[in-house]
Amino acid sequence: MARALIVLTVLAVLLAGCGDDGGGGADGKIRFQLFGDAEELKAYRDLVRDYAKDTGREVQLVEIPDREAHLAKLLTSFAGGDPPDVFLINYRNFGGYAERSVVVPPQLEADDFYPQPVEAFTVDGRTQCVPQNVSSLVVYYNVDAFERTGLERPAKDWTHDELVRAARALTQGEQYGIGVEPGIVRASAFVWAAGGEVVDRTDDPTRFTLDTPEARRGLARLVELRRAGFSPTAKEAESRSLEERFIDGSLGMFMSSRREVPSFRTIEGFEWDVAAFPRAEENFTVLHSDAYCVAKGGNAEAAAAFVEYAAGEKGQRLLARSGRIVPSRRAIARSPEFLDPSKPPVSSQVFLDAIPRIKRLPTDASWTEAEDAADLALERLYYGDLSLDEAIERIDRETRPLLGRG
Amino acid sequence: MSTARSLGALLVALLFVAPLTFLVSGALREPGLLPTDTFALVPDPVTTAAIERAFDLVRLGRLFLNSAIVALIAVPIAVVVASWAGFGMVLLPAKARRLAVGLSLVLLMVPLAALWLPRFVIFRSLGFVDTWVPLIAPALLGMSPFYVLLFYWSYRRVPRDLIDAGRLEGLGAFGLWWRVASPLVRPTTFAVGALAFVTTWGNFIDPLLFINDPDRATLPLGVHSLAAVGPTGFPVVLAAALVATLPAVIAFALVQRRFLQNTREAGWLGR
Repeated sequence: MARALIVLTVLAVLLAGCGDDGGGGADGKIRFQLFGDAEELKAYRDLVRDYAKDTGREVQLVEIPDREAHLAKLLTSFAGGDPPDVFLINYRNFGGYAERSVVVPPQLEADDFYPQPVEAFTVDGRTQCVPQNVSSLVVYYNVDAFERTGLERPAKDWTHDELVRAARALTQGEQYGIGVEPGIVRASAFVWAAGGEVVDRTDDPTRFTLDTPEARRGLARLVELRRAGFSPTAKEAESRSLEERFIDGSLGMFMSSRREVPSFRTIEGFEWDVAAFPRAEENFTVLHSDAYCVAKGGNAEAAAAFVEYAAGEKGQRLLARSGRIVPSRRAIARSPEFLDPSKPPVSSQVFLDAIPRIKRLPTDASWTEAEDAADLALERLYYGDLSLDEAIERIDRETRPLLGRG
Repeated sequence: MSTARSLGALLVALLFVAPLTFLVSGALREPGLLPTDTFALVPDPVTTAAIERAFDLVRLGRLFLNSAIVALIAVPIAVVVASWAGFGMVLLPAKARRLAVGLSLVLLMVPLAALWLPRFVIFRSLGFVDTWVPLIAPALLGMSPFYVLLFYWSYRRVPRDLIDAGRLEGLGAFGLWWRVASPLVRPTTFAVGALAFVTTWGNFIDPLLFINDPDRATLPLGVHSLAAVGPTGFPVVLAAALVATLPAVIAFALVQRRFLQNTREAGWLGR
C-alpha cells in the first residue's frame, strides 16, 4: 500500500488540476469522506443526522475503515478531479493538499479555538481547514490494576521514572505493564521530553535530528520499555493488539490519544482513567488533530455550511459527548459535555492541561512518506531487530531524500 | 508412487484447508467474547450470532446482491473476450503474434496501482463514477492479460490442420472459434471463468475508488468496514468473510468437477 501511495503521489503531482469542475450538484447534497472505527463512525452518523434534521440539508457519509484506504481514495479522487466536498484529515497527512492549494480556506473566528490545532492547519498565514480537535498523547491506565498492585494513581506532573516504576510493578504473570505502538507519533513525545528534537525545522524539515544525545536519550527510554519486558513482544502485539489487551485487562497502561475513548467506554470489568504524558528533562506531549477541509471544485457553499455546523458549537458538543474528540473550541472543551465526570475517563481535564505543552510534527507534503519510513525503522528498533545507531542511521538515510525534495 | 502422491496432495490440501477451518470456526464463535490465545476447532458455544450481527452491522444482503450482479455481468464477458483475444493471437502471422504476446507480458507487469489514477480520470470524464461500469469495464478487455495468455497457450495446442480443415469447410473466424477451437479448450475456459470470478468477487480497490453511494457498494467494502468493529468483534468479521467466501468456494467446487472431467475427455490434448 505504501508503495502504491508513492506512485499515486507522483501521479497526483503530474495530473494535479486535471479537472476542476467537480461534482456537488445544485440539490445541495454533499459528500463527506472520513475514516474511523465503528464507535467513531457512529458519532459522525449522528452528526450528519442532526444536521439534516436542523437544516434539511443532506450529507452523504463516505466511510472508509482505515487510514491508508482513506488517503488512497482522497488522492485518486483529487487528482482525478472528483474530490469529496468535505473530508476529515490529520495535520500530519495534510501537507500535500495545502501545497497544491486544493482546499477552500474557511472563515474562522480563530479566537474561539485553541491556537495549536489552528496553527497546524495554517499555511503561509492562512488557515486552510477547521480543526475539530486538540488531542494529545496521554497514558490510559487500569485503575483496578493500580490499586491491586498497591500503586498510587499517577500525579498530575508525574515523571518518566515513576512511569517506569509503575510499568515494572504492573508487569506480572500474564499482565504487561505498558503498551506503546512504536512510531514517530509516539516516539516524538519521548524525544521532546528528553530535551531533543525530531526534525531540524518543523515548518520546513530537511532531516530528522534523532542523532543528538538528547533525542537518543528519549528514544532509548521508549525502547527500554520493551527491552525490560514491560510491554508485549512483536509477536504478542501482532496476535492481539494493545487496545484489545487494555480492554481485556491484561495491559496496565496504554499510551494513545483521545480516539480510544469511545471503544474504551464499552469496558465493564474495571475502572480506567487517563494520566498526563510523563515529564522528564522537559515537559511536552504531541499534538493529535484532525480538521474538516472543503475541497475546491466541489459544492463549496454547501460544504462550508456543513463544516460550520460540524465544527461549530452544536457539532462539537455532539462529538464531545460521544467521547471521540477533545474539542478544538475552548468553550466546548471546558463544558460538561467534554468534562462529564459520570463517563470515563474521570480525568478528562488531563487533555486540557496538556494543551499548553503540546508540540507538533511537520505538515509538509513529503511528511506522510517520511513518517511511514521512520515508523518501519522504529518498529524494528523497538522489537530488537535494529540497534539504536542502526535505526537512527536508517531513518536518516531513507528520509533525507524525501524531506529534501521540497 | 501413488501413495506418495496422495500423501503430498493431502499435505498441500491441509495447508489450504487450515485458514478455511479457522474462518468457519471463528465465524461460529460468539461475538463479544475476548479473543483467546488458543485456537478451538469447535467453538463453545457454537452460534450463528456473529453471522446475524454481521448482517446487522452492514447490509450484507444488499452488498452480496450487488457483488453477484457485477460478477454475473463481468465474468462471462471476460471469459468470452479473453478467449477471442487468445484465439485471435494464434491466427496472427508469426511476427505480429510475437509482438502481441510480448505486449501482453509487458502489460501483465504494469503495477495495478499505476492504473488507479488514469482509470479514475477516464471514468470520471465519462461520468461513470459511482456506477458499476468501472468495475465491469476491465472485462471488455478480458480482465487481465494473463487470462488472454492462458487462452493463447491453450489454443496454440489445437492442431493447425483442424483449423485449416475448418477454413476449407467455409468457417469464418467466429465459426472457427465457436465450432472448432473453443470446445477443445474447455478446461481453460472454466479455469479462466473461476479466476475471473475470484478476481471480480474479491475486488476491493475499484469499489473503494469508484463507489461512494453505500447502496452500490460491493461485498469487499462491507467486509473491510467490519474490520473496524474492534477487537471483540473478530467473529463478526470472520462471519462476513465466510459469507463472502462461500460463493467462491461453491463456484470453484462446481467448476472443478467439469474441469477434471474435461481434462480426462480431452485426452489427445492432454499430452
